[in-house]
Amino acid sequence: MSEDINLKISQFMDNELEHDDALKLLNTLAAQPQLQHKLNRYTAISQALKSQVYIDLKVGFSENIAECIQKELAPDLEKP
Amino acid sequence: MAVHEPIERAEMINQPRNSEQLDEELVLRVQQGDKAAYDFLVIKYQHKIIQLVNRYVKDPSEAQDVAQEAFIKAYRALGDFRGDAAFYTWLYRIAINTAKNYLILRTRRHSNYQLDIQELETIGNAPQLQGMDTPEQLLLNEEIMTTLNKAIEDLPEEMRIAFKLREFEGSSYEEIALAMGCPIGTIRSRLFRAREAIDKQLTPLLE
Repeated sequence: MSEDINLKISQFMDNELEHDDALKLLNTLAAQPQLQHKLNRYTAISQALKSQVYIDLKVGFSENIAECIQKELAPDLEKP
Repeated sequence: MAVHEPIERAEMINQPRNSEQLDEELVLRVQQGDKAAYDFLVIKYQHKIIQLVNRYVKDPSEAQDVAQEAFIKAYRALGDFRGDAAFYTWLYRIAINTAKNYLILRTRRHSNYQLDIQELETIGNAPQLQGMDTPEQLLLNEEIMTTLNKAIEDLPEEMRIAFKLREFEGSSYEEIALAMGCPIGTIRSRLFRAREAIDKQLTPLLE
């Protein structure tokens, strides 16, 4: 199962995953942030080969953005 | 700073069409109120944007903070995005502007920072000076890059060729399959196995 997802992640970062499969994968990654770890590692390797700088993504990077956006939206949601 | 821009522009132009179509759909969903679709765009582009920002900021930790700010700014502006350019091109511009603004603020902050003897003694604890290309960071990066390059050279030949064609030449799976005379499914598998093998070599340095 996890090998199958990791194979799809590898395809996704190469932009070789079909549209519906890519959406399905993004849904899975958003719902299970721990699975993003593999995407982050594969992408970090790819980017490091171009920039000679390996960047290990901070834990919760995308979740922090989602949280900030949610906080911004909160006042709007509270309006009658 | 401007030296990097032509490389980045080439990267923007090379966004494959299917990737752009997916972005268009996600952007439309965000504009219609589906916030979760923006999470997808963040997941998709987070690393690219951090690397882009780091070329200006030159500090991976700060680059991540600046990239977060860029993603939030992009979200705020997404309602006005009309799709005249591809989403990544638009996001790329926001990220560069955010990085440049950050650099201006950082320069101002540092020029106003008067150091006295006591401050010099505690300089290692100054948050604004932490993580800026410290010797430890540079050494670790050097070690990671050496391990990474060795891991690539240690790959079985057919994996190494496929990996290099993909990562260094930007070849599609179809092009690699044609060049290597094997089915696309084999290339897909070789690239995945190559990444797994390289990741395994890097793991001890990263955990």
